Amino acid sequence: MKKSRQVFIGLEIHAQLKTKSKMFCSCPADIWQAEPNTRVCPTCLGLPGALPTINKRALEEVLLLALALNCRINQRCYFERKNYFYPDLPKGYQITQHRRPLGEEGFLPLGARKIKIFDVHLEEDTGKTIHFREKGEAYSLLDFNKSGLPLVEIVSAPELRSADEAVAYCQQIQRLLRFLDISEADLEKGQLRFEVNLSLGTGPQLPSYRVEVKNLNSFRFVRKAIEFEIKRQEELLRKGVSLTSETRGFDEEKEVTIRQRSKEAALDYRYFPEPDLPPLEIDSTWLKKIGQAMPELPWAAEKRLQEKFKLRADEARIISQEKKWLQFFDQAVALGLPPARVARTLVNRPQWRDRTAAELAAHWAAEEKNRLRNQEELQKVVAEVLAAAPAVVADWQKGKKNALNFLLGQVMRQTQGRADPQLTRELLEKALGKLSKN
Amino acid sequence: MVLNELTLTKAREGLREKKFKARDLTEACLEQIERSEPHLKSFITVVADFARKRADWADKILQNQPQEAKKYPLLGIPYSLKDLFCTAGILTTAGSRMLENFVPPYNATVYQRLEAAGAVLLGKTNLDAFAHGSSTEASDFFVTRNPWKIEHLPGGSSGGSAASVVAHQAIFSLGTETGGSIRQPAAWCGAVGLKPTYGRVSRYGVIAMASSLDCPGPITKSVADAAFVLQVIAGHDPRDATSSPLPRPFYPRALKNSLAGIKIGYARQYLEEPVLPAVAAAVEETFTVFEKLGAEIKEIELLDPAYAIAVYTILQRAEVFSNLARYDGLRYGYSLLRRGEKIEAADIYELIAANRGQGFGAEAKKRIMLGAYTLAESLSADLEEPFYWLGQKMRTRIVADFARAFGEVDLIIGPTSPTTALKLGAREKNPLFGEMEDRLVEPSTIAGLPGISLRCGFVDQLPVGLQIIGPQFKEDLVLRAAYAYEQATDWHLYQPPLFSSTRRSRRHYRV
Repeated sequence: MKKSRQVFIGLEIHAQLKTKSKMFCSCPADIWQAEPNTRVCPTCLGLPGALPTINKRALEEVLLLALALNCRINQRCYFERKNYFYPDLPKGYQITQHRRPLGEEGFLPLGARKIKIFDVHLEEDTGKTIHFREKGEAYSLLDFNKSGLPLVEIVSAPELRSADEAVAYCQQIQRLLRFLDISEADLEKGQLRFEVNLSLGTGPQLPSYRVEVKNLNSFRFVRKAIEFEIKRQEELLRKGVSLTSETRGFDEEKEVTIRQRSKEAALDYRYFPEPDLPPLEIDSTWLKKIGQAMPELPWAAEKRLQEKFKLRADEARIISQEKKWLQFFDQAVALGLPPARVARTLVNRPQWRDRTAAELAAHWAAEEKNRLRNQEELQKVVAEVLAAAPAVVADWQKGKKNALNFLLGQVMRQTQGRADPQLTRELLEKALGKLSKN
Repeated sequence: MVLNELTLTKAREGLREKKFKARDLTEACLEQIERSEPHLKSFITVVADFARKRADWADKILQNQPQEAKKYPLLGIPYSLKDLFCTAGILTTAGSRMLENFVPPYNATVYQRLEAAGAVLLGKTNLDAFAHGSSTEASDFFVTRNPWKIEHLPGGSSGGSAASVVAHQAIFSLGTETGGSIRQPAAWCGAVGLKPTYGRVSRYGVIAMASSLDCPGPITKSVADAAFVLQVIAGHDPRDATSSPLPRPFYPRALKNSLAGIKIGYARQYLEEPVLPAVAAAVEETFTVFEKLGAEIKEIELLDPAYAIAVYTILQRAEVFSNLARYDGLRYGYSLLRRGEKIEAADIYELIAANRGQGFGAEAKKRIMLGAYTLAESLSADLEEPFYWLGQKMRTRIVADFARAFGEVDLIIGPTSPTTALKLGAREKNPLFGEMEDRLVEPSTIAGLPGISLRCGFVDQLPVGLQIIGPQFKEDLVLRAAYAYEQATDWHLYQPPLFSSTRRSRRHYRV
């Protein structure tokens, strides 16, 4: 009999923060499609003697996120150096947080569950290495535009149980980042990156090993990597192989994971407090101010839409997906528009999502003004429609009540949508009733 | 009047009173450099044409715009800069083969401030590679000599700076100190060397040795000169997050001839073995001078400097390990590929290792190895935490110990170095040579305290350095005591016979 194993998935998510300048220098953070190595300075190039200074805005954004994730805030904390060699790491170390992250021990609501968050911390991005071949020769080029961009890393506990749940978690984080307006979280631009930690156990106990899959840059790859790993690990365990910790990469073409290094070769990053930056002391008044600026969180909004406006669950979820849409909805309701209709419009007509509630109100008012309410005129159209569709009329007479909707649609078409639906319906029913009596 | 032998204070006066031109002053220094360099070897780079242009620019202002000239506190004053400060467009080697061709695209804040003050850069001075050493013998290029005795060492790592000032190649110089690198060469060469409080002077653009300790400071011919240079370079720098936002006093105003009411402490261990008895005696003789100036001399307890050596070694090596990681030869610096050398590297890591293997000297490699050890989690299984963290805790104890001592006294004095300048080759015998030589300055450097070294005598025609340490950000008090002592004695009047026009009779040297 096939043993059912417990899946343990933890996620490490890196998101690029929304700031004007980089994390530790004043280079612009907007690097999208910029010429390589044009958004650089001595600091983010790691030149001898250059020093970092802290971007306060980035700090504020991470604190906001940590508060949203219900974390304990370490008001006294510090940056550390993570030491390792790589060509696109120009200082030979990354400035990050390790022992004392800004936020610790929070949770993310996910449906009925609360996924535990281990830590939320601030760090800098590395540069980019571009490998290519030309005339049989292999080249690697370095672009440091990305070097020093502010990143927030969100580390979850290994509490996710399936690929579906892991992807939902990633999407929930993306939604939160956008809601808080602290990251565009655009996957296309590489602003959201994922690392999956996965292991399989026989019971509720967390296994002693874990496999880390690095560098996943889409929800699809997160799913594929998890599905592949579950299958791979299950097979090995079935064969009686005892698994050990390792780090794996993901081959995007073959959709398989590939071993990079084993735990035995695990790197000692020799973390120590960054001596170029004084320890952080988060002022309580400042923290309070950040907390007070907290917008309604997406899951709270979702609940409110259902409870207060009686929206359907799927409608509430879609509208609370983006802050902009939620604002649209709230503004429209405040303008006196019917909530259910606004919700339907937002869900079914995505083109409206980029416009404003005021525009919708104006549009509907114009529609209303234009409405064909002249009974005589409408009756004429109704008679025409009924005359042109005897088969449908017969259907209705046989009891197919759906036929009415078709006829209603026909009237709408004839009048270019100007017909008042309520009145038309009444007139149709009346006319059909008359026809039957005759 | 031999222009290059003037102090900064006298040179300023002369320029303002139009007794001579900035160009004359610069030429005098350049001539002295040309004359003395073959023997002294204090410069890695001399920028003679650049200096002449700057001097001519200064002259134009001095001659035509006397009001404008007041805006430049160091207008027309030629100086030398330790080759650890980044100077845009001018070779900056850190005394290392790794950076032998490195021309930075930007300026250190301190250099920028000196330029803005109108000073005239003569060149960049020799140092132990990456400031790792106390003799300049660890320079990857050559050894600088002591101006008093050519077969002796100048100390280090700012040895080139100290030698260039005492040998009158430059009117003043700028060094950096991590653990004695300003005060010890100042002591051995007989200059005034001021190590400010950590954070008082910006580190931006100073090639890092140990970031939590590094501090630039002046090396000058007199205490007043040091106060003047400090005034120009000190102050908050938004580019250095560890620089202090505290306002700076006007240091030259602190200089007074009286020390009435000032309590000065000394600790017994700073005068005992391995401190040479003649050095200890010279320092003890200063006590009566200070008392005559109105100060009270008091013996105090301080932690044994041996603890500081251990703490300093652990912390400094760890930070060196990390700070030197950027030198991989891929983007700048020593590169086997760019040198056109044939190498066999299986991957990028082997290439980096090959570049570093050849670009770094023996001392840098030793320090990297030791730092990698003191930081490693994986190598400290039998310790609660890596050595680095234990060292940090001990550092806190040392800081507290000084804070306690400064509850009792205003200043602390002692010898700067246990010895006078040693002979060439002294370093080779002892891998911890620097730490032994710097044992008397390392405790205060760990606590981030300001300290000054100035002459307090001679032993065998070599100067003896007296150090005065103060509480954090009390440079003004340190300078005041040093100035009062200097003015009450005549040690500062002696000139190195080989490198000056005037000389004092040898019988004045303490034997």
